[in-house]
Amino acid sequence: MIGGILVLAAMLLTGTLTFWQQVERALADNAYTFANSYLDMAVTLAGVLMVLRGLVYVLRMQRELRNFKDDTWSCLELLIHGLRDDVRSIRRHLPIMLGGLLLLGLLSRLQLILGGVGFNDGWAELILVGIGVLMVYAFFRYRLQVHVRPRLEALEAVRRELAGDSLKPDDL
Amino acid sequence: MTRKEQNDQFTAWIRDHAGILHKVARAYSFQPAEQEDLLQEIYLAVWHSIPGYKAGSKVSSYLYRIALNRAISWVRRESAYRRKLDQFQSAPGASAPDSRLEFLYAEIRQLTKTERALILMQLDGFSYEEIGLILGLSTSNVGARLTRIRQKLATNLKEKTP
Repeated sequence: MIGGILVLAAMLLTGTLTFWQQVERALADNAYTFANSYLDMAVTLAGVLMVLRGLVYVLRMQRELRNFKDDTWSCLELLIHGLRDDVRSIRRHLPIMLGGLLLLGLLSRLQLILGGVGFNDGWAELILVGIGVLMVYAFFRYRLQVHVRPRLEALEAVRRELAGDSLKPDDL
Repeated sequence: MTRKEQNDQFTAWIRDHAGILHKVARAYSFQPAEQEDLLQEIYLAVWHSIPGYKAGSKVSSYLYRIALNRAISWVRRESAYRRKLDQFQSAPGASAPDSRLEFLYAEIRQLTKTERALILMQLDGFSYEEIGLILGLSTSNVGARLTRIRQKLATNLKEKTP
């Protein structure tokens, strides 16, 4: 467990340092503009965000495993909270992040056009990024519909049952 | 706690209380393959809960709590499960060695997840207070629910036996 967290932390540090170096170079080197460094920076940034998300998942999984020793009500509350966090991430944060990546890509193409370079094969790069973004989004939406939501609904049903929503008044 | 101490504690608990974990797995899953899956998940939860165990409290109560929480929160994908269930039910030799025990488990599996937890613990001799502490319910709530569960089981058994 500690080893896993250390590996993730090392990946995070490497990714962050790489991204920072790319930003510094983009600012200092006139030849290394945002337009021609966009894909490198986008991939590095996406990698950093994925590792961060992975770290959150690992820590949450550890917390959930330790939580089974608590009473059932508290246990369910924690699991439901985690799943709701997943739903929120996939429905809100993921589209914002992916939309941001696409927007930066468009801006990088605009920089080239305004710089007088005109239309070039850099658009193919942006189309590939667009396809990648769609595939990632489709994968996570599938996961939301097939895994996350059914599990959340099932656990909420058990919590309602535990709360006694199904009890008739004369049972109490 | 060192890894070796955790290993030794885990081995001792499984050796002494495997019956509890098997009972819960059997009550919360329908097929032997699923029971194995759930049992593995319960073992994993028990392993991770060892450092949190307070010496002096009942081990059986602690393990019941972990096993029930794992079983109650275990959700299988319905469509894939249903297909496998239909396939398995038609296979020969699918019945358990003790038909009376299997009959009882089949009835328990018809109950809701919370009801299964309540009746399993009562059958194992836990008091209403202990059951309430494990599930996070009041003692009176536990008593009322168990009365209803017993009535439900009695009605079902009466309908099914000649």
